[in-house]
Amino acid sequence: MAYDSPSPTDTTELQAPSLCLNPDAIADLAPVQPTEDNFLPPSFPTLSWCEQSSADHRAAKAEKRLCYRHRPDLRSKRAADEIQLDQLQQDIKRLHQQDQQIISHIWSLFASAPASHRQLVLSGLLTQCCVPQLSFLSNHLQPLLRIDFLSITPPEIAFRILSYLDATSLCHAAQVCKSWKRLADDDVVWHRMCEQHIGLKCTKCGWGLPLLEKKKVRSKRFLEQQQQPQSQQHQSPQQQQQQQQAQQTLSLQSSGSQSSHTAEDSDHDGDDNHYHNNHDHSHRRHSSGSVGVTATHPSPPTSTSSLSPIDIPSGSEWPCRRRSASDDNDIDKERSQKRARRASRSPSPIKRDSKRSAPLFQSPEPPVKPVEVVTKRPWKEIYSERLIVERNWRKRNYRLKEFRGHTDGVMCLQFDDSFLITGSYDNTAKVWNIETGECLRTLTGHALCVRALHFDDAKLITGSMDRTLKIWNYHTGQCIRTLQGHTDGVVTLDFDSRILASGSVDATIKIWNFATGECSTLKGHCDLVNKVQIYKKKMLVSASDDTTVKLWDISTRTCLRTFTGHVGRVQCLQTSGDALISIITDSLRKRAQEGLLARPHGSGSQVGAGAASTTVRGACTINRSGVVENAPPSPLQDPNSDTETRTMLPIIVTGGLDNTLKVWDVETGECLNTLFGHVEGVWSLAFDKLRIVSGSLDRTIKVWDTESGRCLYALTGHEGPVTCVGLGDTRIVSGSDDGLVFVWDYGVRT
Amino acid sequence: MPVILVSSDSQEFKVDKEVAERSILIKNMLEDVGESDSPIPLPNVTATVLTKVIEYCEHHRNDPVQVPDETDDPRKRSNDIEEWDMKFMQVDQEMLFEIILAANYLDIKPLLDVGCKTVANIIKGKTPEEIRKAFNIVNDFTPEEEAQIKKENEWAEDR
Repeated sequence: MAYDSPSPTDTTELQAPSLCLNPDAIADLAPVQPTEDNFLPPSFPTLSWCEQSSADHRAAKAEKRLCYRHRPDLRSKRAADEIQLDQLQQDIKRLHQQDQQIISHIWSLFASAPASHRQLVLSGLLTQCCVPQLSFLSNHLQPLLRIDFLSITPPEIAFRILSYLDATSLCHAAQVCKSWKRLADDDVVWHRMCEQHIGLKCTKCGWGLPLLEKKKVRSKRFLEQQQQPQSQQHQSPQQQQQQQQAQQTLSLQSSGSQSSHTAEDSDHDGDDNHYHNNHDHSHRRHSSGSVGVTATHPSPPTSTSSLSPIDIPSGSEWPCRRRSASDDNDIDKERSQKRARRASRSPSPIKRDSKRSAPLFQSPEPPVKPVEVVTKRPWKEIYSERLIVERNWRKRNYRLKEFRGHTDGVMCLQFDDSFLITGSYDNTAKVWNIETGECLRTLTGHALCVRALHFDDAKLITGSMDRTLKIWNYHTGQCIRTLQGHTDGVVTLDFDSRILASGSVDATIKIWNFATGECSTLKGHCDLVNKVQIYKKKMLVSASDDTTVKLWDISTRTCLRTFTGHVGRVQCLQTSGDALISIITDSLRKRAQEGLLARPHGSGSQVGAGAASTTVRGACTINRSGVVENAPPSPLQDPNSDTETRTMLPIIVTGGLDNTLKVWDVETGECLNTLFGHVEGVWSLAFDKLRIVSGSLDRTIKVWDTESGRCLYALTGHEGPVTCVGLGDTRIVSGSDDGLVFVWDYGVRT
Repeated sequence: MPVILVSSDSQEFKVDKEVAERSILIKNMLEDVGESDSPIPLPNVTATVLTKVIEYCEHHRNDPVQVPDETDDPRKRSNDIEEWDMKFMQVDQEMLFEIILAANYLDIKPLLDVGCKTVANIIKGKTPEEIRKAFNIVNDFTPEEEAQIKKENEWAEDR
């Protein structure tokens, strides 16, 4: 490169394209030849700047004379659409030779001038320019003044710039050139993206977020090297412990012995693990909600353990990575292996490890070397996967799987990552492999219809119209125990690690204590209790044919609140558990604007962008500025300015035979939203932060936006009333009176 | 009491302490040095850029000081730029670049943010080719590479 050499060069050299791209090469364009024929006028000044008297010093001076921004390495990368040197050369050749000499001399002098002089020269030239010439300059400057910001700024600034981009723009940026690709694909950027979107949902649900904050303080790389081995060490014993405890609980119940001490122990862990388990839902629901965009499921031990206080440091350190670091197969494998181990009562972690590739579930033994090469998925991939699932949901892009086997109407179901269990009018419960649709086991024993069921890792409890409840080891199919007490059919049940609640046609709710075997009764409903759910450990919510929903204090057996509004039997309900759900309603908006309590019949409570402020309920802290989130529409960009009234609330959603679903504020008992759309009674529902699904006598399943209560679409296919629905990250499961079970799978297709 | 700042090309700028302290770098320097009349040299900032930066600091002299954590929190970021800042940033790319570097060096977070947002906004909504045009970048991918990368990034396209 001749950029630093103002000395004469052969013009043939100019043909080299690289030179042509270098504006500094213009110095060499038409070299001055002060020897022979000197066409220059006699008054022409000396040919060199005083700083450059000697050729020996030229190299040293070259550094100095360049403006610090004249970096030849960057210059050479400039695009070819700049002023074409070729063109210039053509133009100049048309001139008289003397003029050629003078012009090239001016250029050459300028090219060899030190930075400060150049500026002076330019200033002088500018004063001599007429307006059209200035206009010429300004036209030519604009395109020349384009800078490849990302490549020349320090990486931290480049990443900062990228951090303001949405996913689409980032993907475009990655296609620009190699250096941009490196930056725009970087884990730093996509980790932030994941954090931004997944974390936001966490703000709303309160799950995992504090830990993410803590993690951010440290550098990612540090974490990858330091944290993971640690968390592995922490986690594995924890897993084992949990398994042992599950074992204890199981054996405890099977033997019927009541060693309160042991039970107490297992409670500590189990409490948090299981009390989130809503009917029709595995405990995975919580993590699913927190994901926001939804994606692969967390593996069971992880999701449960991250909710337990002891395990938080390790369990939640990498919630999203963890969630996605292994694919479904891994999870299945892991889970089945775990179960196998539990069954054999001899944990063999090494064996298990050999089959696994994901780093997060590695051996309980301290790693010999600090982090060997661990296959990690790029954050970009994780993000894209979630996005695809989210899009599938939005575009109704699912695969439908049919589970046939029951000989009569299916009345209840629940599923997790590996199992689906259904209960039916054919008096049986069936355990299915949710991926393959294979019926693994049929549990027989009830004399009448199985109306209710709930399971955790270790046990399944079923409730039947034969007035009993049965506790099963569903891995073996063995019935461990039968509970009697209700004077009529059991239609609903829920349990956590301490208590079992059951609701019956006899209009009572019974609370069974696992540890002591005691049974107490909640009386208050005057008709059949259709649904119960334990709420925040100490409370219980129930829905009844008497059209009311009641919130109970379990320990005092008193009714704390009655939710009235349904005009038909209330068939189903679900609470948000510990999570806070983002809700937009007209009533809240009005309340915020006018301080009035509007009657909440907000059927049209849509997302109209008003300039209302957010109402923040005292108990639920929501960070306003943080919720610049593009909730259901798309996580790609931020289309919604957050001028809407969003409120984070603990909610109950109920569905009734009045064909509506209602969203209630647990704390005030106010009905926030009424969801109209079904043309016959609503028999079942499930929801997470993103969507509500409801099954109806009208044979459809409707999918609603949780936040606004807007109906997104209906799923048709069942030939009978949809009696039960379940909702996961990537699927809806529905059971029908016609005996069929459908899985609507929105997962990524491989 | 005014503070005297000296640019890399030796120009002196007299600014209110309050204004100068928008720069955390200067603020810390002043705190370290204590009461002093001696000018503060800023060897990395030219007079033209410093003029611009001071203009920004003057306008934002009464802004509440941001908690450092707050601006780093990705969940609190938005691409909104207030109107004055938007106008302030209507400069050529070279000046924008210099302002960003100066804001980084002088540790003026809000200005750095506005600068980065401005660049981000140029990138946003553009196709790869449009981005290349906007920043004068040569596509150094082979056609095969380009096709491959396009495919890799297709997931973000469909809305």
